[in-house]
Amino acid sequence: MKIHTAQFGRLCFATALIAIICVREAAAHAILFEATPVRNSVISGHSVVVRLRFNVRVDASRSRLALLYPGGSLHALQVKAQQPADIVAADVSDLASGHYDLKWQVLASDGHITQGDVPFAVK
Amino acid sequence: MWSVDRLAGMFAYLAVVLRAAILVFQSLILGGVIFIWLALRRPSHPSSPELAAASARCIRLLRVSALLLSAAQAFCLLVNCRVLIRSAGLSLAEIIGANFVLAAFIAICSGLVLVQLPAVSPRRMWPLLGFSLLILGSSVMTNHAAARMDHRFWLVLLTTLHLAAAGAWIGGLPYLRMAVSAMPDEIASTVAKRFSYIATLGVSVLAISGIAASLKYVDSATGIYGTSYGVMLGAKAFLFAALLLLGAVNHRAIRKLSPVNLALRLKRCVEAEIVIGITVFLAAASLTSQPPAVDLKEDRVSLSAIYERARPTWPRLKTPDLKEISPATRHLLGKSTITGSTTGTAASPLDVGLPNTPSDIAWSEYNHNWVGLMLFVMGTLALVSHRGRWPIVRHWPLIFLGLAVFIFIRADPENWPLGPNGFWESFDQIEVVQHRAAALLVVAFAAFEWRVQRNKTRSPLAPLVFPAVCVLGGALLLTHTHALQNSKDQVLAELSHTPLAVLAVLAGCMRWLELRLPKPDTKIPARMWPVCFMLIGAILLTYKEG
Repeated sequence: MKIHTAQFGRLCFATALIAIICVREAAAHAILFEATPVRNSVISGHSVVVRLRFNVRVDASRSRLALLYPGGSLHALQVKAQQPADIVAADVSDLASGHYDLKWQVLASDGHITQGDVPFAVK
Repeated sequence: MWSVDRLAGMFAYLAVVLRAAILVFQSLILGGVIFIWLALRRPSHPSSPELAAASARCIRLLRVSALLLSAAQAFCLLVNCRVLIRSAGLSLAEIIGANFVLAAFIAICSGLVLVQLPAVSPRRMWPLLGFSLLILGSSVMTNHAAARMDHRFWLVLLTTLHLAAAGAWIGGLPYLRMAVSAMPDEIASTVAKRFSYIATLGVSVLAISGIAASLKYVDSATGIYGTSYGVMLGAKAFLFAALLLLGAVNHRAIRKLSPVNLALRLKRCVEAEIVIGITVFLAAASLTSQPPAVDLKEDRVSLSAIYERARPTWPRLKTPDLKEISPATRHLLGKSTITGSTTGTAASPLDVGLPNTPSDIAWSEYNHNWVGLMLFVMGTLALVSHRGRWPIVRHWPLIFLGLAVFIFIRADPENWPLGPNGFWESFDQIEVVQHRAAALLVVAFAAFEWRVQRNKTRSPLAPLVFPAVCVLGGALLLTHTHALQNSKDQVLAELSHTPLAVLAVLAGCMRWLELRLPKPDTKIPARMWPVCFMLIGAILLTYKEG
């Protein structure tokens, strides 16, 4: 069977294009390894140092932490200047008793964004 | 800030698509530069117009690849910035200094310089080499290796070597195909021999760097069969082995055959290598978007669980009642609140956290088992049709029509015609769109191949639709879905689907070779692709989810 190089090239290009289009969305790869406070834990006191450790380097200056209060209001936390490259941290104070949800969003060095949450309670 | 809307999801999807494109174009640039530099340099034969024409065509492909890489990088940058602005509330000024922005900027500028670089020739390669190394560096900047906390230097080094070797070998193949077509057989033979040395070195570096990096990313044997990353790595290694086998056939042919006999066979084998090579890049693009196995300590699948799932049992050929399966996805999503999901992850019942009921599992197993039966019958008929004794078996492609109807009706039972969701209403779910696109592809597949089997087509491209769709189907399945949480069900599903994907790609390549190789060389590929179909059918016939 004889086909011209141009035809072959077009077929290759079309195949590659459709194959690329077929690639399905994949998950970002920053994984939360450790969290303080621990997920679903109950802590005492009015303040806590939030410290999240990930499996890869994250861009702390472009990552976000926020706390969902028992009343339903969401407050952004001030992310600390990064120490180890895999950690995002913030100080939280004036906590009252109740259930909280720490929302996090980190930017990995490859531009991947990952979100998650760490629920905890204050007694 | 925390809402994950559909628009952002679509952008994130695009970002992954673009990463795959970037990997392909980047390899074409690296492969092109090395090919022009080393394989087309100082010809031992007197200069001929054909050689000059081949060089010009290779340089044109290099420039086109550079332009497409710049475009893909620019689009990818826009997508990532858009998602960051929408989801993290960052301003453009805040994003500018991010690592991925810097990497994209380097790649875009280098690509554009390559497009515009004057007086490109095999004798003046240093500027080309410099800019292609910058492109390689920009790719490594956003790789797993650069983001690791441990062994970062060695992983960056191994990744750089791995990407360069992949580019030199796989990225150089289209240039080899192009050059061999455009040159007299004698010169083509010389160029092929030179490329053979490049490829041998490339393969060696690729294998060593790949194995060394895998030892860091996969901590144990359970990391290979027990995680999504490991399963994908296994598929990539298998495809690499297939590529290596074809490369070895070429290597042997280059040394044994006369230049006249070599050119045609070389071109055909290189075509199949290009197809497998693109699939390997797609697998690699998916791999870079997943957490390495070493980071996935929980929910690994045990060997006993794999045995339990893979153990052959009698197929489920009787459907459960439609009323017994879970309610429509849309209704579930409407009632549920999704928290803690990854940006861009399309909402699905799995995200909502509802387990599949036994009836849901039975429904899915019934679908897979029947599809398996159809494919097994098709493979058998295709194998028998080669003997030419029973002309009626030539019509085996018609079974695909039944398959298309089956997929359309049963793949998404919550939608029309079985479920409450309307036909158009359900198009905003990516899975539904994929299933319907697959059904359409199968119809096109059937139509083309039926005409081919009856010798009713005159277009030289029509017979190639079959292998192209096989490879596409395999690529789609290979990159189907990946779980951040590495749930056991997800890994078990990938363990059963990945061999299907690899077999589909192999079936496509074998059919391609059957159609394209000179007649005496087609015996083996002509029997291999129906066997691949039968194996796919056999795996699906015993497919289980529970």
